[in-house]
Amino acid sequence: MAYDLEKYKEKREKVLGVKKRGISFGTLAAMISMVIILGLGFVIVPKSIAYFNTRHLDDAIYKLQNTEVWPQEVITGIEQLAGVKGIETDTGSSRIVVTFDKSITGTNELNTFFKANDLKAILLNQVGHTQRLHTIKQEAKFEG
Amino acid sequence: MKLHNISFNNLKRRKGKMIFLVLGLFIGIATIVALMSITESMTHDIEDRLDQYGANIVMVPRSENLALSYGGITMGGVNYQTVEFAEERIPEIRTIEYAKNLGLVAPKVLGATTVRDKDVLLMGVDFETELQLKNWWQFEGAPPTETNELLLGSQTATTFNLAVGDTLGIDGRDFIVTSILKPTGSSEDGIIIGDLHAFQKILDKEGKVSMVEIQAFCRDCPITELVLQIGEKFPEAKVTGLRQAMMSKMQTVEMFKTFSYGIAVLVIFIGSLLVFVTMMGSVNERTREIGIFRAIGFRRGHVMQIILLEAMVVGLVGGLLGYLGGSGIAWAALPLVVKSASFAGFNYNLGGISLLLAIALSLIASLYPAQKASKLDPSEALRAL
Amino acid sequence: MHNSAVEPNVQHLIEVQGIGKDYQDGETNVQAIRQMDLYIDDGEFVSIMGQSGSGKSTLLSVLGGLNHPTRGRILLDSLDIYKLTSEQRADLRSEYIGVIFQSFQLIPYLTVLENVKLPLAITGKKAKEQDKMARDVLARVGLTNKAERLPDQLSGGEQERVAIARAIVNRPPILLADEPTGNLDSKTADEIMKLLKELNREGQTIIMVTHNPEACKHTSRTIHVKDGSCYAN
Repeated sequence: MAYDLEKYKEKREKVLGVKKRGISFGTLAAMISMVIILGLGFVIVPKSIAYFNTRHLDDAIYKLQNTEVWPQEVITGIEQLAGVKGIETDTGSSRIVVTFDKSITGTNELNTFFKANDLKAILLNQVGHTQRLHTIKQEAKFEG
Repeated sequence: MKLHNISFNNLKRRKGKMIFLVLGLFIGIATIVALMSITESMTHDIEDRLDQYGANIVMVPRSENLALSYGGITMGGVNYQTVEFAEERIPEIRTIEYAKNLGLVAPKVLGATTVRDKDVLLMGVDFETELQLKNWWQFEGAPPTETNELLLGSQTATTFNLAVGDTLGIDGRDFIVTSILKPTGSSEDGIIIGDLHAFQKILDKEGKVSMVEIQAFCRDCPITELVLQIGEKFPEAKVTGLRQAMMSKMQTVEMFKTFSYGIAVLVIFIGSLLVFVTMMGSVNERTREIGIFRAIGFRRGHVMQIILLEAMVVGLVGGLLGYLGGSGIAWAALPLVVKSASFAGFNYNLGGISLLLAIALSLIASLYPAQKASKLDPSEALRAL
Repeated sequence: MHNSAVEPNVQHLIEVQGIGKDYQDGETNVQAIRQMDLYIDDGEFVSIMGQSGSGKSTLLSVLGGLNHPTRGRILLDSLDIYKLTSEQRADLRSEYIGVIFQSFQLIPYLTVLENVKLPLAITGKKAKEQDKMARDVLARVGLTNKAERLPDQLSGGEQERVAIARAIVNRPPILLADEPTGNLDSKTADEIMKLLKELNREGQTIIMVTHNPEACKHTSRTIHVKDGSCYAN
């Protein structure tokens, strides 16, 4: 039979008309999977890192027994002690919160420091740093 | 017939490979689920206790090593030779700034003495306030109302072989046992509880108080502030909110949780590797089959789709079984790890996550094999004729 | 529509123009096909005969769009098939070509019916229509009662018939058969050849590769292949 150009025209046009579909199944599957895994990662990893970085931190809350205000030199002095990471003054009252690395130093060292500087400071409470922040957040919800 | 029929039929009729793949994922997911479930049950346990005892504040003299086991939670170390508070100062507690948040104030005196040649711990309380505070106590008999009446801890009753109505002599004075505590799991089980002033006399601690338990009105009140204010009033005391002690137990759980995540990552890695290797092997086995698909006119995308669909089903089954298995393991293992915790039940969030995770891992691990399969040169595939 | 893959003024359904195929076998350069020129018309039953190693199987795979030639071109229905994209070529195979191999060509985990439906899986045809087409073609090859069997439960001849059914289920214009009677005894081989002749009588274009001179008796034309070149009959 001689060649008939028209006989399979439809098929020819079908073949030529193939356009690559937008996103292939494989790429789509890959993207979704990546999103899921990364999503989980973003949630878990920072929390774990944060936990590791702060789990050795404790907060000690002190109050001066005789005077009302903490002298600035004392505050600077405390800040310079080994292992002390920071000091917060409790707003509106005479307390300070000393954040320290409990593997380096502790309330004993702080007490000695206060004694050496002739300060009558009472340790009101000692609590984990992350725990204190967490509790503040929770209690703020109640008051607010 | 659609492409997914090809995937399903392959898995259905060639179970061997599928079982192997599912097993790999199962072990991984089950481990994660078990660890997470246990962690969650432990957290629930703590939160339940918090609900029960949560608003309590304990005030003890500032000497190190004074331990109480309170509902199973330790709050220090043990030592009965302590410097006590003056009883008359106790009402000062109510002069703090946040006094309106204070509820009950229950002072106690503690001390050891010998009764019938045995060493025994006595706790003197003001029964009216104490019983209100300890509202979870359950007894046999009627609680004491007179100063010569006793409440025995369950273990003490057994040790001395006493029942309700019996008499017990302490230091020359006779007391009547009017009730016996049902086991509470805390330190009260091993002590004798009596009237505050009566015991103060026996222990030679008149006018003194060893410990004060304070209850705030509500659980979410600014308890930390209450604790600090009481601490300011009583510089010789160590004041702790029960929630704080509870939270340090939470820290242990947090540590366990982080450890679990670490294991999870490892397990995930191994599981994915297993899927990857198995899929690669499978693709090599199916060279001819894929050649036939291509010869018939399947596009590369079609071939990929078939393989990835298989991976998804494997992920689904592995995830589901892993979740059920892991929960089962947690349920069985929990009593061994934490004595008092009860199983938190099926967590659907965890189920959803484990399913998604399993599917995602299975897909990612199969991507390269699927790509390789689709790129197989058909003529190569059909060569061995 | 201007398209570089479409060739005007074509004379035959299939034209093979100056085909050559080289392979790298380790260090040596092997010429599987040196030079071949041939044509095939619509409705022909052509056999391509030669010894093993003559290049006939390579020719078939090149014809089927499965093997890119080193030189020359193939025109199928005016389409220069190796100028098409890979995806277009896959669609070409789906639309135009049915393939039958010598052996091991059925998917082992699919039933006979499912195997026959395989080419339809990507056509988007509805399940009912697919079922009818598949069953019709199974009846044609006389295997209706084996529809639910798995391939390993069938004899060699039966498997070949399933392969034929699968190859024609989507009514492709061209059937390529690579040694279809190679593994069969003479009685079964005869039956297969009879079936192919019937299909050809109904208008099916068939290109058959074989080393068996007996098979060529049934075909209208034989092209001999030797040492990578062909000699028309």
